[in-house]
Amino acid sequence: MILELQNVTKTIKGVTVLDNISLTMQGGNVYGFQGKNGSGKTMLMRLICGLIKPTSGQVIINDEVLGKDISFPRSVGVLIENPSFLPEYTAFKNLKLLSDLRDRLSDDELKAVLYDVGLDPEDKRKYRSFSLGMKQKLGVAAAVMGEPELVILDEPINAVDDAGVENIRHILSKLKDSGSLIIVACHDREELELISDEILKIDAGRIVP
Amino acid sequence: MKEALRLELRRLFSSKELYIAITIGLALVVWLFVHEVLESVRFAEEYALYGDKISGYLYYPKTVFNSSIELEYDALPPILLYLLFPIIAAFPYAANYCRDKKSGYLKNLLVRIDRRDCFMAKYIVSFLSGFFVSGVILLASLGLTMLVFPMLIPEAVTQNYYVRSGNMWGELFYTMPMLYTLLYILIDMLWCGCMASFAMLISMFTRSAFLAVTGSFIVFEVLDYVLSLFSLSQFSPITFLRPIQTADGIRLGIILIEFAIFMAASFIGFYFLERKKYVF
Amino acid sequence: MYFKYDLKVGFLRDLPKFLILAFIVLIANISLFRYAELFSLNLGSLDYILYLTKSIAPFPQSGEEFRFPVVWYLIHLYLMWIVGRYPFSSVYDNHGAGVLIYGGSRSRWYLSKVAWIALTVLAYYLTMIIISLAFCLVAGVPISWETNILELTEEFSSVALFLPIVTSFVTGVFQLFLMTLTTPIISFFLVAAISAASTYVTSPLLFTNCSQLLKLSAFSEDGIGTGEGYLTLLIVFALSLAAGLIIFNRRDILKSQRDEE
Repeated sequence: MILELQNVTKTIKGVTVLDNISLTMQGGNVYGFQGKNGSGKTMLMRLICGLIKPTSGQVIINDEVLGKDISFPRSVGVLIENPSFLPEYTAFKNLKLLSDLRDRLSDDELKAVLYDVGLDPEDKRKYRSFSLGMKQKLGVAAAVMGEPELVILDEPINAVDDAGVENIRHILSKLKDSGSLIIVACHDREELELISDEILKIDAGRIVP
Repeated sequence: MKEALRLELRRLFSSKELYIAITIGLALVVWLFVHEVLESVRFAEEYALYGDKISGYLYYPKTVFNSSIELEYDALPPILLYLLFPIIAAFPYAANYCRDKKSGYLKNLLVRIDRRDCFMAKYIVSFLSGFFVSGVILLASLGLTMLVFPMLIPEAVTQNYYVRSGNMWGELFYTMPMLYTLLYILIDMLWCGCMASFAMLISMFTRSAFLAVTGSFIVFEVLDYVLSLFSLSQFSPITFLRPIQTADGIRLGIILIEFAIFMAASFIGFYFLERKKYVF
Repeated sequence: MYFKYDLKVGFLRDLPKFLILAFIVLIANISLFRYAELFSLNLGSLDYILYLTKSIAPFPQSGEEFRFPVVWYLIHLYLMWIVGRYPFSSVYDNHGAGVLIYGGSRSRWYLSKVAWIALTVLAYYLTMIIISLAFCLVAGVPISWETNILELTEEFSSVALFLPIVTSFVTGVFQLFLMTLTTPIISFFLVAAISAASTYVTSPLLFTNCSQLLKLSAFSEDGIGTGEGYLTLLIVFALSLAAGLIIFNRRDILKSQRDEE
């Protein structure tokens, strides 16, 4: 997987939130986005997902232009900002519903993903009664299920306990070994340095050295 | 309490929804005004051409009391305005509480402001939002009409007025029409405030701004529908809010008792029950 | 794949909302039943069904005062309320965005919502028919396919009877298009205003006229022709669908829009 951003600029209501960003990212690596609040990390992630369109420039994923050849990356898992799911469904049922949209993973595969992030696949509690950490783990599980080629995680370890963080590290390492391109934004600098192969600093919508 | 109230009022008056609701209402007012002026001109021209040639042709001009949006009876804008009042009244503020819940801002407020004050301020401001929006729209229509049309004392015999002497305050309409109109506008403003407060009751059960704003509208429409099918339209707020009184049997007692019931229901629900949900 | 999701989340999960429809229809049936008894009218089951979308004849007719068609308006409006609630309800949060992304195509997402509207409309009318027939069976109203409640002004055309269903579908698609331009609340408000206006003004331009049987030339002299009605609806549908698809394909999905839903 090769992800290329060519002179990408995004302006919203007259404010330039991403300013002429060019970069290339390759599968089998973890890229850490670092920057202050409002620096443009999440906006860049949304752009790579296809949720927002660049005002100028283009995003190319495996030789296909996002927004022209494809609406969204063909194989992607995302967790952007706070996770949210259907409140009256269990964790398993929520994952099943999402997996039916694309990969149609087997029940065993879904249960394995839940187990990997530290959730009990047989837990009958509804999502609405989950703690913040459990919601976050489910968000990560949804993003990594089916081992997508591109994984985008915005603050994946927010409110997650130490064991959970360890699980997520392990999952990311497995995905990386399988050739996935992983993009992570995280405010914990040490954690980000630990999991990332390359750190990209973002400031005022620009990649800074 | 004062601070909470000031905060909510500031939020109300800086919200774009308030100005959208007023703009929608004023658009209907202007639409009706243009329609009435054109009608009036057409009528005067017709009379100048043929008035003296038709025996018994009665020339009676358009007046404030059959041209303003409250008292005009066979044009589209007043039908639309009074039908959509529940949604226009709820639009400026009802979604506010849902957004506060969704964004977590409510919890932020509740750790800083006394819970009673917070919920009381929200309840009062929701009422004021509907009261204010409807007041601006209805008084603007009255004011605009007064700029152009004369304030003739209504004459029942001309059959140019929809209010009948047997209606609530019917005698007042034919003796002191401005007082009748202003009193009815006050009733409408109170009820629009009530409709906006009722939307707060609905917002207890949802985080969706859509449901909060439109829920109150659906409830009043269903109520109007059920009552009309059983020939009890005089009990329906959507019906009795029109100062032309399209149903027989409208009484001040009915209007006030229903007002008290709806206000009490929304107050008990929102202030007492909803407040208790938030325990830290 | 989106449709399966919409079927589960937007339709099956929302089925309890049809209980309110059942209540509305039942009240209308009871009212018509009382009316028929009072005036000794011979009404059959088809009358009970048609009564729900009958509305009023084109206004103004000589000497008639405007009486707002509450039954038609509420039935029409409640459907639009259901339609307005679901499609954009979660697309701005992580879950909805995930659904959109995993399905792989904005156009398919949008078309799935159109298909969901079609399904909802069909289920809505089916519910109305079933409840009315059930009422007729219980109340001893004869099950017949003749109508006494509508006077035919031209040869009976069953094609005209489908106009309310098609109009509801097209109004839903139109509302979906409005939702790509503005918030669901304002979209619903606009549709409510257009629908209310169409009870007063009879013109194919106010296309919701076509879902009121008495506004059609098949049942009223000054009504809208059946062909004219279908043509208008086809144009509104095509324009709404095309414009909605184009706008949604270009639209940014931002978190800040979430609070408006």
